[in-house]
Amino acid sequence: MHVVGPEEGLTLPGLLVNCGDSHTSTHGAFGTLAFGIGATEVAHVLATQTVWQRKPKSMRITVEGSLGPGVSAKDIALGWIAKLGTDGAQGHAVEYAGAAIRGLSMEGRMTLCNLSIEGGARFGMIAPDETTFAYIKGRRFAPKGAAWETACADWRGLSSDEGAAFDREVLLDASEIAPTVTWGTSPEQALPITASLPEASDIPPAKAEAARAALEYMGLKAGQTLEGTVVDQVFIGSCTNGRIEDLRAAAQVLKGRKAKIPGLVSPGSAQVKAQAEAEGLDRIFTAAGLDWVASGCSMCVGMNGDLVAEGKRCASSTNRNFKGRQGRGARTHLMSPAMVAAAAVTGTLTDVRNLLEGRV
Amino acid sequence: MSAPKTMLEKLWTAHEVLQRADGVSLLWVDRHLVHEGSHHAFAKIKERGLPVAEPDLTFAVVDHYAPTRGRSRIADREISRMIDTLRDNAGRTVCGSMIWMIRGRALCML
Repeated sequence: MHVVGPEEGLTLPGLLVNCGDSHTSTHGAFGTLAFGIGATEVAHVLATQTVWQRKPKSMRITVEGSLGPGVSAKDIALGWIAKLGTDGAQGHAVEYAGAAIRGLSMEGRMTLCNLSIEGGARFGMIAPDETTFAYIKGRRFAPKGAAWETACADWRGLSSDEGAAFDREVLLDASEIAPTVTWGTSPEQALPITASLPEASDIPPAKAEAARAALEYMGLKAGQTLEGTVVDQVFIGSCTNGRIEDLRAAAQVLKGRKAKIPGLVSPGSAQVKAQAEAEGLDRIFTAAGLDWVASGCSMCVGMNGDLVAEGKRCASSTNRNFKGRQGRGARTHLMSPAMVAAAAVTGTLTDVRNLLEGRV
Repeated sequence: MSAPKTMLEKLWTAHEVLQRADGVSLLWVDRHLVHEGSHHAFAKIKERGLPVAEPDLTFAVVDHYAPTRGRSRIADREISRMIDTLRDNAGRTVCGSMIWMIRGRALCML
C-alpha cells in the first residue's frame, strides 16, 4: 500500500496519511504527515477519521554533496541509522534536507522516509518540490486542471521557512556514504560493505550483548570482512525497495550476467510489474536465473508463503532484519537493490561498485 | 511578522482539531489505508455498532498476505481467510483481481 498510495495520486503534499503499518512514514516523501498506528488507533480512525497524537520534536537531517555511483537512498538510511542508532531519532519527526536529498527521485525519497522509523523517528518527511510535482501530475487521484495550479502553489508553501528552528540538527556528507549492509538483527547493526565486523572491544558495553547474540544468530564471526560472506539466496522487492527505479538499478547489475544463487524478484505493485515488463526488466531477471513473481509484501514479512528457510542467508532489499522476520531462523542482510543484485552475481556479499564498470 | 515555522509545524497546525490539557492533539486524517491486519479494528467498531466514518477517505489494499504465485487459487486457508476478511470489511469486490474499495472509492492494487 505504500507503493500504491503514491502511485495512484492518493498521497499528496500537505495531507495526513495513517495506516496500521510501521512503514507508513514512506508517504512523508511528499511533504505529508504520515505515520503508522496501532489496532486501537485504526479503530478510532475508522470510527471518527481522527487520531490522537502528541506532537513530536523536530529534527533535520541534512545531507550535502552528491552520492557516488552505486550508492542510493537505502545507503543514506542505513548509514544514518547505523550512526545514530535505532533510537537515534526517538520521539522526533525527521525532515530530510540538503543537496543530496533534493537530488533524489521520488522513489529514492520514499525509500529514505520508509526507513526513518527504523531509526526511531515518528515521521520522515521531505519538502515537496518540482520533482514531487512532476511525479504526482496526471495520476488518478491527483488534482486536475485549475485545481492542479492552485494545489502546486499551496504545496510550495509547505517547506520549512528560512531560519526555522529544529530541536535537533544532523549534518551528513553524501560523498562519505558507501554501499551499506546490515550484519546483525537490528537495522542499526549496519556497516559499509568495505568494513569488517566489529570486535567485542569495538562495541559500547550497552550494545555488546546484543551484538554478540546477533553475530551468533547470523552465523558470523567478529572481525571477519563483510565482503565475501557466502549468501544462499536473494530477494528484491517490498515497500522499501520494490519500485521501478529499484528494479532498474538491480537489472543494471544483472544484465547479461547469471545469478550464482536462487532468488525472488517481487515488484511493489501491479503497476510496477507492468512497467518493468514493458521495459524488459523481467527478462533480465529471469535470464539471470531469478524468479519473477507477482507483487505484494512477499518475502519481506514471511506471512504470504514466501519464506527464507531456517539458517539460510538472504541478501534482501527490505526494511527489517529482526530474528525470524523472513521466516524462522532466517538470516537477513538488508541492502540496496543494486547490492542485492551484486550478491546474486557473486553468491557473496559484494561491493556493487566493482560490478558497475561501463554500466553507469 | 510571525516566527519562521518548520514543515512539521505547518502540517500539524493544519490538521489539529483540538488539543487536550495533557498536550495530546486530535488530528484530522485525510487518507486512511487499511490492509489485512486491520481486521481487529473493523471487529472493534462492529462490536460497538459504529460505521466507517469516512468511507471515501478509506482505502483497502491487500499486500501483507498476498501470495506472489498461484493467486487465482490460494491453497493456504489461513492466507485466504485473511484476504476474505478484508474483502468483507471493505464492503464489496470491484473486480476479479485483488481490487477492493470501501463503499465508494476504488483502489486498484496488486
